[in-house]
Amino acid sequence: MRITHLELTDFRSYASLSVEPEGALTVFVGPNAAGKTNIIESLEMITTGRSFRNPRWSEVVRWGASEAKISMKAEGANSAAGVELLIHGSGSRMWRSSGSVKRRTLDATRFVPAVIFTPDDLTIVKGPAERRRSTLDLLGDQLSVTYGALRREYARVVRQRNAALKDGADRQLLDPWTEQLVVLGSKLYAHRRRLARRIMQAAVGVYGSLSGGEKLEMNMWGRCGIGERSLGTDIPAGEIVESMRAELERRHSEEIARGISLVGPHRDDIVFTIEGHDARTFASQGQQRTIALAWKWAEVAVVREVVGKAPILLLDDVMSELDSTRRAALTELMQQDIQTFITTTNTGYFDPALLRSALIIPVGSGE
Amino acid sequence: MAFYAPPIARLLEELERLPGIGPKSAQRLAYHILRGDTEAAARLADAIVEVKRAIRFCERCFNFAESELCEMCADPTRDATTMCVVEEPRDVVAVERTGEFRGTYHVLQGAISPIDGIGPEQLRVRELIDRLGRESVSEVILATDPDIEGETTALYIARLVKPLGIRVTRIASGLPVGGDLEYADEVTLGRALEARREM
Ligand SMILES: [Zn+2]
Repeated sequence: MRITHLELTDFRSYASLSVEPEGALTVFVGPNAAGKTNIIESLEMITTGRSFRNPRWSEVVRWGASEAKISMKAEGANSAAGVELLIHGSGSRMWRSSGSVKRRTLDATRFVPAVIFTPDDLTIVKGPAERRRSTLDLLGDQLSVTYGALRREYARVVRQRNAALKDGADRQLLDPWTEQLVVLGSKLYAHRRRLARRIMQAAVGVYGSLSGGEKLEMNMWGRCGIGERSLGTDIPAGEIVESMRAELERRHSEEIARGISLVGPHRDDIVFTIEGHDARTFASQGQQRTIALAWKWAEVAVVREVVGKAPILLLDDVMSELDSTRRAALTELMQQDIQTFITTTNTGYFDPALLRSALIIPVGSGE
Repeated sequence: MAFYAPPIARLLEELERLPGIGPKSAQRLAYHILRGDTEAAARLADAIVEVKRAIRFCERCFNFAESELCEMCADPTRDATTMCVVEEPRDVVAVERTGEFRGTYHVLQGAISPIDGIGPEQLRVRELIDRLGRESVSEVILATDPDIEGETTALYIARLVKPLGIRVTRIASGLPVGGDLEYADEVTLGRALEARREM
């Protein structure tokens, strides 16, 4: 799918903006704080239903306006889609696709998968575990309705169970929540593990070629009672359930004392090693950036593999953060028949041959 | 903000207390009432007062009722050995519409939700257990909503009821995830009742 039209009305800094991408690459050039990132954000919202900035919805409505609108048209080999998102100043949202109102976000965001890469993603190695989990989960949401539903329901169980623990609920009242934690948590763990394996399989090769043959490994460390086990091995569903139950029993009094759920996939982490050394402590800044780049490359590959179509690539000001070798690698990814939207302060970061076929849109600070 | 005459402001304030009514909807409703004739306004006010006066909770099942017992509890032809446990009175209506169920009901008046401060004591759980001790029920069908809170409430009740030697079943999923029983269409809910599973 390719986006053929994007229109913003009263979205953030834009009273109105219309973009009609032509070729594979659209570059938004302008000084910092000119509103370039708002365009990338609107593209992420209209394709995936979320924003990497995690704003309150009311925040994206332009000051003084009553509602914001993002609309998009996309075309594929044998399909076309029109999607519209209205965001009211109160924060309520309405999706429309092909003219009819969609009750659920996921019914309006199935058309164009997106992979987004922002300077924040460069902290994937050393940042908090939450960053790695959510990067994986947001991909999962786009790939499978089940993944998204499981993740949301599991998060709700954890919130409810934590409230029950804080209230000092007795065993009789806590047990049904624990049961839900195990049933949904073990499924989420299995899904997440499978997704992490796909990312690993694609990322390891990319990292190797970008780094001149260094060996990257990825692993998932969890709090589900399952010890260190290579991502390559399968763990039967029943074993995850049993491990979680045993771990919950073992840490029961600790959970009661601390009033929070300590067992379950909400405490999973992804760990990278380079040549066997933990990347969190040993990786140089360059190596960390190469891992981030390899991860994004892997996301593109996994989307293609699972959904059967290329995602769009949204790059917010990452060129300036990468050295020339990594910029060249990113450029190569963009050339794999992937529609790319990119913001930059300086087109000097780009290969001139690439720019010749690109649509370059200047973004001024007067917007 | 003194943009409105005090009587209008008072009406708006009351309307905005209603679920799903924001300032804009409240304004639309208030203007509609103001533009209409006095009789229409009196009919609306009467209907609201009358429903509060005439409707109470059934003493047996806690459904809405016009006298001590609701329509279903007062009907001697209904099968008293099968009991369907639901969250809200509106769910009784949803199950009745399927035409698949001829037993009695028990309305919990909510679901367990610690983040909202709702535990079994805030629900009609004790009354349910009392009824099971008093009446000769052989099967309890748990038809709480197919969302996290409804599922957990079903688990909690199943663990209380099973030791009493009563069969406990749960309506089949296949209902929309995270949904309300109320919004399941009749065919889906009918099938869910038929294909219930042992708990
Ligand atoms: Zn009754």
